[in-house]
Amino acid sequence: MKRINPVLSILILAALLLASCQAGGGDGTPAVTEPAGLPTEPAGLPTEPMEAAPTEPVEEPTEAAAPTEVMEEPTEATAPTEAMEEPTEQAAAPGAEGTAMIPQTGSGPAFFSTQFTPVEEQERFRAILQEGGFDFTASEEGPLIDLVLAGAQAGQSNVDVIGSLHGTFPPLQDQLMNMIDVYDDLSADREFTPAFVETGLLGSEDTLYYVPWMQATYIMAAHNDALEYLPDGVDINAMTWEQFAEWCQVLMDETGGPKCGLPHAGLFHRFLQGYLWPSFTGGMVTRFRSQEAADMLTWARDSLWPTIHPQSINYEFMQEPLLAGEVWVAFDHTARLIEAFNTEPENFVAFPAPSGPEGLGFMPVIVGLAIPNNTSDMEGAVELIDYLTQPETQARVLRELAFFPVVSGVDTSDLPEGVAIEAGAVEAQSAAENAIPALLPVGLGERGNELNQFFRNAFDRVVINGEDVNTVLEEEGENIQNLLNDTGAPCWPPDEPSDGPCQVE
Amino acid sequence: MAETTARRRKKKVNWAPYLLILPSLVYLALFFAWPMIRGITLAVREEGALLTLRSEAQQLSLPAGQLPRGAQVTILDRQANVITGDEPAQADQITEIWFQIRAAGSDGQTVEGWTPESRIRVQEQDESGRPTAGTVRTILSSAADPLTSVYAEASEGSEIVGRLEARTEVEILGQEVLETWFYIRGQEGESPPEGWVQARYIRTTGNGTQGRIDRGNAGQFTTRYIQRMVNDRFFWPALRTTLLLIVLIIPVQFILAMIMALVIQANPKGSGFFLYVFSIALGISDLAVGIVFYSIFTQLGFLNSILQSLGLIDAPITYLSARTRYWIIIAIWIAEVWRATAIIMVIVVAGLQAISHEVLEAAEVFGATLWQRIRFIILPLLKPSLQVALILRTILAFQVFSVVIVLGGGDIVTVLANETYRQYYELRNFNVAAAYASFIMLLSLASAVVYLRAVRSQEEVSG
Repeated sequence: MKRINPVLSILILAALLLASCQAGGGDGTPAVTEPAGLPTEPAGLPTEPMEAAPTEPVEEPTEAAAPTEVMEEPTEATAPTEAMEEPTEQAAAPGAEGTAMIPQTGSGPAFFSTQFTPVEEQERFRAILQEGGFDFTASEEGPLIDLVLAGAQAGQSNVDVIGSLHGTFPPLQDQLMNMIDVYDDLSADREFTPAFVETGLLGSEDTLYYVPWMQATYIMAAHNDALEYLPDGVDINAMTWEQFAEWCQVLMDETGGPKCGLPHAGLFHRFLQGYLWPSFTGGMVTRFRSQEAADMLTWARDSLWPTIHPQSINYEFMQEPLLAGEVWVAFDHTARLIEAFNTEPENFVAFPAPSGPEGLGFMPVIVGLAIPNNTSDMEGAVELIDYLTQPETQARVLRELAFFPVVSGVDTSDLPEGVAIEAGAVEAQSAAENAIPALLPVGLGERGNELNQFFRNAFDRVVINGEDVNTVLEEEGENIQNLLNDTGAPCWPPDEPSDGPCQVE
Repeated sequence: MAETTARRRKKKVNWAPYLLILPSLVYLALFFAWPMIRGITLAVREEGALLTLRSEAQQLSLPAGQLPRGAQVTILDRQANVITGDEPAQADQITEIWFQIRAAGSDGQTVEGWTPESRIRVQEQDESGRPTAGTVRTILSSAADPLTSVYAEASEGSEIVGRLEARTEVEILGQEVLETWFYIRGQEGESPPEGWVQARYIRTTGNGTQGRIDRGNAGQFTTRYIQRMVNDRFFWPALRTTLLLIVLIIPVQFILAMIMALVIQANPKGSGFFLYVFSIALGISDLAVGIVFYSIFTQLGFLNSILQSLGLIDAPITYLSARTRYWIIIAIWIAEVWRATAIIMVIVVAGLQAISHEVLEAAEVFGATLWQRIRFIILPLLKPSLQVALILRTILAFQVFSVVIVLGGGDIVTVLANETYRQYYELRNFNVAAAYASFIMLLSLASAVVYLRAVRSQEEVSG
């Protein structure tokens, strides 16, 4: 017996080592199907709160809280079934990053995009890409930034092309290649919208961080039933925010409940930065705590928010409550309304955002393509960017995915009904006489999202929590000023350009 | 003889247990201790908080002082160190490359001088890879000067000898690789530190004589992130909501789990079926549970449909709104109780198996009622299992996340795990997110210690 023990223990040791190697590699695969399956639910459930967005972020906090999870190790003996649940979550945590980025098959440049992540859009976009011999991997913004930063540290980038919103690129400024040569070659045979090329500079003079790829904006959508309740004399294509609140009040009184909705859980900060503040104050940051802003917040608290559907705090994609009938009038991103227009084009209309005392503040959304340093497939990357910015491809993306082109010469005749409805509103909005284009913040670097939080804080504290307007605007204005001083960011449109850090008046 | 053999036998150490523990020690160190230390360090240490000033414009010279990040400085001098080709590039060295060029200027004259490499697009190279010809890149910014300046020397401080238009063809005569150093002096205090630093740490303002330290190269322990966490607008609401949920959910779950476990243990007909039904919730992810309960509680969801069809309400009630936060808490409470009771039930069932039937039968013979049997026999013998279940469930309850964001939207009702997520994912503030995560870990540890002391079984107390 005594001679057997050492042999036995070595055998058990070897078995343990093999088992731990297996567990590390094997657990990844079963977890793959779970998060990827969730985004396909929207068609069935009437009031799906979110789509792709939370499935991946859900896994992130299990990573953040990983130290507490691992504490269960010592108690595994007495809780075998408990341990069953935890490893699948833990395995799903690293596995979820792999599932969020459904890897592209085939060779060609490694194209990671944060746009077109919902499954239906992925398939349509993949079909467009495959005609050019390309493929892509849909990814969330956070993991994509981490991937690029990790590649920079390792000296070799796994990502060849990044396709993402403007706000993704400032944290990656040091890791991106200067696209100016690529842009130079491309602009030989196509014309890009100059304003978007300018934003691609991210505030620098001569470094182009991304080539503009697509644009979108935020518009309003209304069900035809809501049009009956429009107050007399109000033109839906030229109304003011006060008239909009009156309309919502009528809807609430006559239909038994609030029927207007705002995506409070979605891109609400763009609503505040690009639409409310510029329309009422004429600026974004400089006039943040002006008297007009205080009046606007008081109006929002007393006249607007009571008429907004209270479940707006859960709405991320307004097309779902619109189609479910919970909401009849909504404001949202064109890509988050398109399903409503495509599914029931005869029931919905799109119209430009209302204007305020200072004009029609609106915000264009710019999506760009960038190439990180140290990629392995530079030629393929440039070819892909060339393909995506050709007028024919831009027309296809417009037709099938409702993202608008950034090059001129795109054939916009014969659009599907849903896209045509949106295109009308987009055109009316940007061409309005009193349009105030509000651009995305530049110069804040990786702290750009903090600005979004301050705007949201100001609105939530006054309108939802009922705090005193002036105190809140003072405090949040102070926070914004500190952020601007820390980052040294100069003012950007709609504010007047400044010398040095932008000042909140 | 027999004694020495016996002594030798006693001295023989049994290595087997230590060999078996070794892999798990390695595993714990690699995947537990190391990441935990890194995570906690993120919360208390600020990398790049201080900038070390050097006595000479060289990496290896003596340090001459330190300045904090964000400090305003005066730039007194600058020096460009030429990096020759055979020196190995240091890992964090960022250098500028300047080209010596010759081209036809905008006024027709030949211009010869230096310009930064970023202004020239190299079109031709010779066999050894040295650039020989190129074109001037366009300046895209509408606010900047559209002409590229050519300097007399490889420095932006030297005089401008000419300007070139975009797309002008240039001949590249040579290049220099430079690392610029600034001699700076702080502006605070009586004898502020002064010394040389690499230019990339300073952001120049104005005309180049003033600057601001953008980031440093030395780390420092700080409570800044913990302060930011505590002063965050959402910290106290998140903490309160998390504790409230724990207090509401766990006692209810324990009572329910005990009842379920006793039902199963009593072995009625079909108890196996009950076990499976109770355990269904174990296999469902918490996000899916959140979505299911959202579809129940939403305004046009199942609950309202049922109540309306039964005639109990006229119009759908909105439960999940900012005005009715208590309803959101109730919905979260119901969802969590539904989802997680099975975890505790399974542990309790396992613990109940260990209680011998003879003791219970003896108690019944002696006339103990059901309640007396539960209180005096089952509960005390179950204490170890209850301890385990309590610790596990509380630790998991501190991490409650998906159900809360689905039902509450994340802004109106928030919990600590959601704040960790918001700081990391939306605000990209890794340090404050690490502070939140460490805080959750601290709370979990504290609760485990409390439980271990409070729920001690008799054997442990009496030693």
